[in-house]
Amino acid sequence: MRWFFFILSCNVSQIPFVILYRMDTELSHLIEGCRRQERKAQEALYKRYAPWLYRICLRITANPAEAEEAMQDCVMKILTHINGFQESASFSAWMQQIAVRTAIDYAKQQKEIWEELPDNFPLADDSPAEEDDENIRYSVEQIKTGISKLPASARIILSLYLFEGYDTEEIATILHLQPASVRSQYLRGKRKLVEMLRPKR
Amino acid sequence: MDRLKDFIEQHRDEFEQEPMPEGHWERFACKLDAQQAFHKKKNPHRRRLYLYLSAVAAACIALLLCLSPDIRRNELADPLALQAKAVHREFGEVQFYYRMQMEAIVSEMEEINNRENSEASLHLLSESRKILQNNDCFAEKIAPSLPVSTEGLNTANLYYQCNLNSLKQMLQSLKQLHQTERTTKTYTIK
Repeated sequence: MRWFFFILSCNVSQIPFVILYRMDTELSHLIEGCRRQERKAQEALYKRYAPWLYRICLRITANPAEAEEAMQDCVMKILTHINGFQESASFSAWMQQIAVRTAIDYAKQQKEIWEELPDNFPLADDSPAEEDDENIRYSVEQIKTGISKLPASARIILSLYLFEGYDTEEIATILHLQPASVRSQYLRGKRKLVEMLRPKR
Repeated sequence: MDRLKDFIEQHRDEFEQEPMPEGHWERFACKLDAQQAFHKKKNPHRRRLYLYLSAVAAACIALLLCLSPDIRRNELADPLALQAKAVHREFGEVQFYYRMQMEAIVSEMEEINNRENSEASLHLLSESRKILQNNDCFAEKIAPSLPVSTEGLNTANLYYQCNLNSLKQMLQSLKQLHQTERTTKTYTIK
C-alpha cells in the first residue's frame, strides 16, 4: 500500500522511479527469502533470472545442454553464497559475474579446449574500411550461428565484449590474459566471424 | 566504427529471444531438493551438537551464578568467623578422640569385672561410668558455651585429658586389685 499512496502524491514524471522503487523492494524481499532458504523465494529467483543467465552461458559454451548445466550451477552458487552479497553492490552485476565465470569453466572443459586462432590468421587492422564492408548484411541468426562456430577463446572474448559489455581490461582480468592478447584475439575472432557472414560469391 | 557491435546493440531484444530447454525447471527442482536433503542430513548432527553445547554452556553459567554468591559471601566474610568455624570443627574432633579412648578403657574394665566379680571392681567400674557421663554432659552443655577460640579449645582439651587420666588410673587400680586378690586366694588355698 505504501507504493500506491506514493504514486498518488507524485507527479507523472516520477512514476518510473516509483516502479523502480517497487522492483528494488521486491528484489530485496526475494534476496531475504533466499537468505532464509525459503523454497518459494529460491524458485522465484530461478524463474526470474534463469532465462537471462541461460543466454549468457549459451553464448559462451555454444552448447544448449552445457549452457543449462552451467546456468543451474550458477544459480546454485548464487543461492549458496547469497549471504555474502552486499546490498551496496548491484545484484545483477554480481550474478552476471558468477554466470560468466561458471560458463567459462564449462567451456574450458569442452573437448575443443582453448583453441586459439592461429597466429598466421590475418589480423584485421583498425581500419574501418575493411570491417565495415557494405556487402555484409548482418542478421541475428547468422551472428548467433557464427559465434557458436568460433573457437572457444574467440567465442568467449566476443561474447564478453559484444554482449556482456565488458571492456578489454576486464576481459583480461577474467581470462588471466594480457589486454593486448585479448584485443588481438577479439580482432581475429571478429575477422573470422565477418568472413563467415560475408556472402559467398 | 564497429558495425557488428552497433548491429548487436540495435537488435539486442532479438538476440535475447532464446527459448529455454524443455524440462529445465524440473531438473533444477531435483537439484535443489538434492542439495536441501544433503544439508538436512549434514545439519542434524551439527544442530544436535549445538543444542548440547548450548545446554552445557547454559548449565555452566547457571552453576556459576548459583555458586558465585556463596563464594563471594565467603570471600567477603569476617576472617575471625572463618577461624571460629575451624575451631568449632576442631572441638568436635577432640571430643570424638577422647570419647573413643575413654570408651575403650571402660570396656576393658567391664571385661575384667566380668571375670573377677568383686565389690571393689564394681565400685571402680561405676565410678568410671560416672566419669563417662560427666564427660558427655560437658560435651552437651558446657563445651558449646566455651569461647570458640584457641583458649576454649585448650580448656576442653584439658578437661577431657583429666577424665582420661582418671580412667586410666582406675583401670590400673582395677588390674592391681585383681592381681592382689588372685595372690590372696592362692595363699589361702595353700
